[in-house]
Parts: sequence; C-alpha cells; structure tokens
Amino acid sequence: MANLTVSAVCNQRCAYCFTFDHLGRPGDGPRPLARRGFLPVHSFQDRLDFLARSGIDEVRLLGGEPTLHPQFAELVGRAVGAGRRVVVFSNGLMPDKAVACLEALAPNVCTVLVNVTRPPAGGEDAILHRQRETMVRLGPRVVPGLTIYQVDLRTEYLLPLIAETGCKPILRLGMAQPCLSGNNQYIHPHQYRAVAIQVLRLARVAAEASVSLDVDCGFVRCMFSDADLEALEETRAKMSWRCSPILDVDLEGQVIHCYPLSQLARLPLTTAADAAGLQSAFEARTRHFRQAGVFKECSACAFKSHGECPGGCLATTIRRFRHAPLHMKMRGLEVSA
Amino acid sequence: MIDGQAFTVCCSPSIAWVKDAGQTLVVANEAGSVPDRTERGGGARSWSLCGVEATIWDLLSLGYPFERIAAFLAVLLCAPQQQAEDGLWAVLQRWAERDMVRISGGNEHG
Repeated sequence: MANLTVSAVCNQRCAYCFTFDHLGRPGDGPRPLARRGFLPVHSFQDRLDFLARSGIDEVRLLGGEPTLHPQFAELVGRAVGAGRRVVVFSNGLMPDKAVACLEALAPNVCTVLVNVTRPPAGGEDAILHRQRETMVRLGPRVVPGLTIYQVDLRTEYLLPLIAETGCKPILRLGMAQPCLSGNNQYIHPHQYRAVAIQVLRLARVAAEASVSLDVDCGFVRCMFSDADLEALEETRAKMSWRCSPILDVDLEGQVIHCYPLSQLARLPLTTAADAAGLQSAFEARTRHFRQAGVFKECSACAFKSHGECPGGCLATTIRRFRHAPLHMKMRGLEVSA
Repeated sequence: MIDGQAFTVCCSPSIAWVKDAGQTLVVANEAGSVPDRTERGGGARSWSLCGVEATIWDLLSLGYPFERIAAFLAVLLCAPQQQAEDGLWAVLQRWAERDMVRISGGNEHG
C-alpha cells in the first residue's frame, strides 16, 4: 500500500488533521516541505511507475484535498489507463468536474473515501449539504469515514446520510492521532476507553441499519474488553489493531512512514525504490521505538508480546519518549573505577 | 581511580528514553530526527534498563548529583557508601562506552 499526495491545498480546516507537520494548515501557506501546491502531472507518472514496480494495483490519491488538483481528471485518467484501481481520500467538497470525472468510473475501479466528520461548530450544515450532494452523485463508489477527534463526537447524522446517499453500507472509523509536534487535535490514550464505549454504541446502532464499522489504524486491543469484542463481532464490525508503514509519497518525491510520523524520517523516491524496500527501511528505523507503546504497560503486555496488538500508534508512542538532556555534576569525586 | 576531580555526565544528544511499567527503554535516535545512521537501520540501538540501572537513570534524569545518587544506592542496596559510588561509576562508564551518556571534564578542579 502507498498513498500519493497530489495536493497540499485543502478547502477544510480540520483541527485534527495529521498532515499539519508536513503540509501546514490551510491558510497558513504551505510548509517548506510542501512549497508546491500540487503535484505536476509528469511527476505523477513517476509515482505510477513506482507503484507498478512495487506490484501495487491501487492508486490512492491523498491531499490536502486531492480533487482540488487542477488536472485531477488527467491524474485519474492516467491511473485508470494504466489498469489501476483508484482510491480517493476526500472531504467530499469537490469541484464539480472532479465529481463528474469520478462519476464516469465504474464502482469496481473507483472508491472515494469521504470524511464526513462534522466540524465542532460553524457552517457544518452547509458542509454536510455539499458532502451529501457529492455522495449521492458518486453513490456506491463512496465509503464514508468518521474521524473520532473528541470523545462524545456527534454521530446521529451518519446513518441517515448513508441511507439517503446510496453509498456503501460501511463506516470507516479513524481515531485522530497526533503528528509528532502534537499541534493537531487528537485522542489521548487516557481517552481510549471512552472512545471504545462510543464505538461499541455506534456499532450497535449501525448494525440495526445494516451498516458495519471498519476501523482504521491506531486502535489498541486493550481499549475493548472481551465482552466488547464479542458484541462488536455480532455487529460485523471489522476490528484490527495495526500500525505499520503506510508509505505516503509527498509532493517533493520524499517517502514518509505516514503523515503523523513525517518528521521522523524521510526517504527519497528513487527510480529503483519499491514499496517493499521502503517499508523494510522504515520498519528498521522504527523497530526500537516499537518496543514501547502508547501506554507504559504496553512493553510488558501479553497482547503485544503475542503480536495481537502493536501497542497503538507509533506517533503517540514516540511522543512519550523524552529527549531532554540528562545532566549530572560530580564534584570532588573519589571513587575507584 | 578518580580523585578529587569534577566531572559532568550528559545524555548523548541522540538518546531518547521512555519510562515504562517494568523498564526504562533507551533508544539511540541517531542524527536527531532519524533513528538510524544507515538507510536499512543496521546501526540503530536500544537498551532496556531494569532494576538498579533504571533507578539510576531516573535519578540522573531528575538532576540529582552523583553523591546523592550514590547515597541513595547505598541505602537501597544496604552497601557502604564507597561501594555504592564505585558501582555507580561503573554503570556510568558502561553507559559511556555505549554512548548513552558522555562524561566530560576530569581535569577541572572544583
């Protein structure tokens, strides 16, 4: 798996956005690492070549908001022309020509993950109206997504939205994770249990509407009791506990582990690089940090030692580490060495 | 034998650590933000500190001076002060050999 960033520009200002360290917030102007606003089409071809030599048949377009790319239709056309499936990570606030471009693709070659998380306040009805319009037009191509960035997030609008728009009866569930700077809004591990209860409640309500949950990376096994997991299984929720290098390729041709860890390490996308090699390199670079986890108990946890749970999001884990210098003076020391 | 000299012990710049329930995990986070010198990660290192070593690291991170840490260890281990100081110095030297800490000074008088 690898995501291709094609736009550093976004038309939303989500407080939980994990691209903050790398792309900057909309309105702040691009960060030094993202001086370009959009990926040039000729560079996109390099990315397609990378996917081809990596044996990846899915082109996952990421931003910012990828559909704001002025040549979005051409990017999609090149991907589909190369026989690839297209996955678009969008907020649903797409230009009409982008919707038209995706609408023209068969649902089996195109998935649009629409993040329908409601902002805390201000303009949410107008945003939801536009998202609904996009979802109606794209119908079964759409998988709606929710990012839990605060406990007790509003979710009552989700199931009617899914029913009205004809999108896939799946709700992709993410939990907001910190970028290494911690400058975005995220769920603290101490809030995980409260989130788990919310997930369980949502899964039950969703199951009654024949909608199943599909959880993204960063969730941890110990958030849920065994009874919780049995209940989630009954709702057909797809649970997994994972954190591994996704590989995000940025606008400058640098590959990062994932956006939350963009400040940890970057590797160049050379003409010889393939996804397996890059993943191995990131795994090697992060394996020592992975001995720990998001909780101080993780390193001795049976779920972790048995490989059932990786210990949560690596960005959250690394943020637990201290870097402040130790300093000790020894004066008038008389010891035998 | 180190006699009557002033030393300073500092954490190596590449070191990051976390205190877990049963251990203190120390990672050599080489080259600042990148936890390794080599692209394939062959040079990355980490150490798990437990027991007395974890306690020493804790006290070091809290800024306690050598003599107070040694005094604490003497009580903890029911050992004479001199033996505790020798043991502490041995641990610091071992860490210095691993480049977990850097010991500077030795010729200064204070």
